[in-house]
Amino acid sequence: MKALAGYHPAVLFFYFAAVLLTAMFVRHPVLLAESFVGAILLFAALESRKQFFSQLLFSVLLALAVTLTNPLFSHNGVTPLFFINGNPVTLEAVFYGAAIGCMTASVLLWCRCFQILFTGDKLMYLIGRPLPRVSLVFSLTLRFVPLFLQKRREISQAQKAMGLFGSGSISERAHSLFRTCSALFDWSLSYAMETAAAMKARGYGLAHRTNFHLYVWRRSDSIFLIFSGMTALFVAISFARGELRYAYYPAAQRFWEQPPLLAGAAFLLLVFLPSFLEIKESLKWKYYVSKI
Amino acid sequence: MQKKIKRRLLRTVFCFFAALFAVLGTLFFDGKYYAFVSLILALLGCAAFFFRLEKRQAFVGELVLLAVMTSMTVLGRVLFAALPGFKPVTAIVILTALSFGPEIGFLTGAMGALVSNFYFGQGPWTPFQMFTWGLIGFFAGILRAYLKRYRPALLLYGAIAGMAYSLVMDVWTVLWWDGGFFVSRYLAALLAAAPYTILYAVSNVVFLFLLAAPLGKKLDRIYRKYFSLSEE
Amino acid sequence: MEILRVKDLSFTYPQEKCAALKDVCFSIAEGEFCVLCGPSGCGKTTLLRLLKKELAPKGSLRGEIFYCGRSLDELSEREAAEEIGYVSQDPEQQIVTDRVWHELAFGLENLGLSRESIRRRVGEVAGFFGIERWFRQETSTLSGGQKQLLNLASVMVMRPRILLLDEPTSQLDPIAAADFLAMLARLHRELGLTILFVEHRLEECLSLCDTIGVMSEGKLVCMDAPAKVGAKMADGALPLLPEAIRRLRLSFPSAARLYWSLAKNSSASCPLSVREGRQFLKNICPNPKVRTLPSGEEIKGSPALTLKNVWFRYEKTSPDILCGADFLLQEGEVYCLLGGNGSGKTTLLHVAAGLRRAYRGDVRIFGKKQAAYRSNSLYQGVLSYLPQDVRTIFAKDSVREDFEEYFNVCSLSKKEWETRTNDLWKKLEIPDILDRHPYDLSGGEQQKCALTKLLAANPRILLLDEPTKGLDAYAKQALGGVLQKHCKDGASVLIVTHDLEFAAQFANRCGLFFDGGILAQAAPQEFFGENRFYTTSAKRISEGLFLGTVTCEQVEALCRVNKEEVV
Repeated sequence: MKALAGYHPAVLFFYFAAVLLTAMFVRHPVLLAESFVGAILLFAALESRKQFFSQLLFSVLLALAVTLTNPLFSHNGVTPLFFINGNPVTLEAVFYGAAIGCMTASVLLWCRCFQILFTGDKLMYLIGRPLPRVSLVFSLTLRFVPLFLQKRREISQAQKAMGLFGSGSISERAHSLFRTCSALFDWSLSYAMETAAAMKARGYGLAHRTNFHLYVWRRSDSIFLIFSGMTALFVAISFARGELRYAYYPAAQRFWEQPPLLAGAAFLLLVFLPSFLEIKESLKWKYYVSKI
Repeated sequence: MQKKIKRRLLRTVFCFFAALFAVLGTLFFDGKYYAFVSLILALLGCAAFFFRLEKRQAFVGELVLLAVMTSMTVLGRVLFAALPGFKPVTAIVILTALSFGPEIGFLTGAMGALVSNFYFGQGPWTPFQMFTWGLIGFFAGILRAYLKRYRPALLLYGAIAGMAYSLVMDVWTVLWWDGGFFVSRYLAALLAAAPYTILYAVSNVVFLFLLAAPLGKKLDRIYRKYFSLSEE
Repeated sequence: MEILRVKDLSFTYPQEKCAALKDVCFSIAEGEFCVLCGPSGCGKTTLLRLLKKELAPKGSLRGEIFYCGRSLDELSEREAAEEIGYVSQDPEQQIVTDRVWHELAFGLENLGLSRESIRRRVGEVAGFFGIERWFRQETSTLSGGQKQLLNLASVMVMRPRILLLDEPTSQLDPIAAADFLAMLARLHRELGLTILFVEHRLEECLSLCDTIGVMSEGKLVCMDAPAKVGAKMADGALPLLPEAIRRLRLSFPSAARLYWSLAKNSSASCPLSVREGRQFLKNICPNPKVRTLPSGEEIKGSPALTLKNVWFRYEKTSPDILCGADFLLQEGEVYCLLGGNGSGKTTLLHVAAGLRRAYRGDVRIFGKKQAAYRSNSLYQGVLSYLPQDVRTIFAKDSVREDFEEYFNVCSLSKKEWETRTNDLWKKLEIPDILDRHPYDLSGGEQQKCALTKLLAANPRILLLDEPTKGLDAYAKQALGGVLQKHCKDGASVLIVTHDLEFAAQFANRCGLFFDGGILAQAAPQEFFGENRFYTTSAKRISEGLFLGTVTCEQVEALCRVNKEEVV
């Protein structure tokens, strides 16, 4: 059981919105580094070892690629390292590339974590109240996609057993796929119309529809929300006061001379909170298991 | 009737200006948070259509059809996963819009992007993808009288949509990268994505050519069988 | 108190000349369990859908329907949705959401109940129906029986006063069907729920109901307590042609059918259950001299399809579905493969048809290795496969186009193809549907049409997966006849089925699939004759009296033989 997955969808959504917005739009190197490390830690806690390492490798390569390509486009900066075709490759451009690469990789990692924790049914619940119809369409789609995929397999098997499914040349195969999909389309349309009838039979379309869900708001949800809300607020205040403004060009600012203490500390707490909870939970679990 | 057209026109104009504002804003106005502004705009654009669906009268059958078409776009992406760039998704969105109008067109595109990213990975690009695919469907729905009548116009629209998708997504790539819009970076991104852009356009044309007649026929049959007598 | 009254109801579909319902008149009292039966196409589903406002088909309607003394049209949408529950045939199509708990709550959300009361009601119903264990599962992971139980539960959670069911067990295997019927009986007994149940297979549900209505060609010919209906069907009390009576009788339980054919001028009342049937049989044939029938001739054909030591699993890490299965299908025989749900019978068909590859073992078709059939040569005139969902067979916009396309890949002359299709059409009684879309046909028509398509190509081996699903008793007889005729011409048929009566009547051999292989196989007389539990009702009725009589016809024949001896 993942500790974070048990939190209320609204809390999770708020948390990831706060982290993602900061990670995407604050370009201060200190916060970027924090975000990167936090994302890696959480991802490690959530994913299997194999998945983790392959994704980590990808992230690092991505960050490196961005670092190395940025100087080719951008020749700003005052500290030239060397020249290519008469254009300077500057230290600032490399540094900015590293920052952006770091940001991109960390945002991708955060998104992966978000996807693992924030499953389709949570999204459905969250948009259920303001957008009941969209939520219903979303729910139907989540049900239809695996069903249609399964049916496509059945159709192509049935067609194959009639000798109507060519598997030779590319054009034959394309034609077979086209036929299968055309049949699938008929199948799903007639299926969906029956589903619509069943919905009407159970009173869909009456006025004053309500929304049912199984999520319960616990005390831990309040604590999580207050904690992440406070830290996000501090980051926001710091942002509004301009402490997080940072210039990479022409010369990179020396951030250690005027460190954004408040925002840095708050964001650090924010990004490490979930990995801390995950680790705590797994230790607790080990303890409980030892008592069984 | 007159009122309906007027309202539809107003909405189109609003969307157009919203998109224009996003592009121009990043080009000319000074500031650093273009990526942020464009993200918010994309989200707002999608939200406008979602709330519109909630407010207006809608039949159960229509919602279920929307779900089917959305699933079809997702399936299109899954089944053609092996061929990068060569996907029937945009064609399906356009054809849905031709049969059911601009709103359903937008929603199919937007929902298709959202749901298929549950299979292919969510990311900061999701809102933009939703908005762009949605707009492709929306404009196809607006122009459906012409696109339905003239097959070449439909194919042309598909080609343009494929290129426009690439152009818009690259704007966003550049904004993301630099926090501002640089023409040199944009051109470089366009150049790098050129093979894909061509592939998008070609695949749209191919799929529209293949699917327009059969898909339209099937949708019309369903429309006749389930909707013509009762609901509309 | 009367809960539902239908007065002189007539109904015609648009663009049809013949009325689907003609002057139907009946009423149902509160707390009654009523079964409506009749061959498919007799209008029973139309009648049922007309009673549910939201599902009423379009067309011209005469007559009136009263619900609790009020006209159905006067009912508010909310009342109609809440108080009249409806469960239809296909378990899959009625499910709306992707989670079980959400599915249960769906109707209550529509009614606008508060979260607390939804929670209570959902919990209560989940407990009653035994759904707790799969409460949080995804609906796509459920079995067919679970799905149909979920459909029933999510209608019952809305607390309807009357429940309408349209052949809810026709797509289920016998065990799931029995569970479903047991649940209905419980709802009726414990809650006093009014139930109107449309069904064409009466064997299991007759003992549960209070009244049966019999429909034929759009008319309700009689409606009464089961025993009385049984008596009426015996003599010429009904204003129907003998042929129509014969068709209606086929859907009744074996006991009643024996009674009608054996008890001429008898004063005994019509038996309906196995127990009553046994008593009846003992009365008319107390001490039989002849106890066995001569066994039918055994078919010894050369092997058509052989599986030797076949092993199969879906994924590397999943368990084996076929574990060293051996199987032989001879030329000229109908083989019925029986077995529990999800035991791997369908997988065996897939492996035999070359749709899945066994990782170990040998599959031969007419002595030649399956893999040696290049590209599509296996499927052109040699082997055909009918899947469970027959709609997957069709890919064109009309039946005509679909047939033409298939004709083009078959190596048959146009004339031969046409005589074959026309012949099959006549035998299976398919109306003129050539220009219709395959998906506009009724379930039974789709089934017959798909079968015609495959049979017309004259395949030497035919593999059928549940071909009797959704067919009424008469159509099953026609199907069985067609298949036997096909085998007489030298072809072989392998059928995977749950339908024991069908297997007993038409198979040359039956096999039991169990635990990854074929456990036992024999001719039906021996196969079902040995079994006590897993056997036909004719066998149960004649148990101890005769040996190896597994169909009504066999019991009848022995009774006649013994009577002649006495005379």
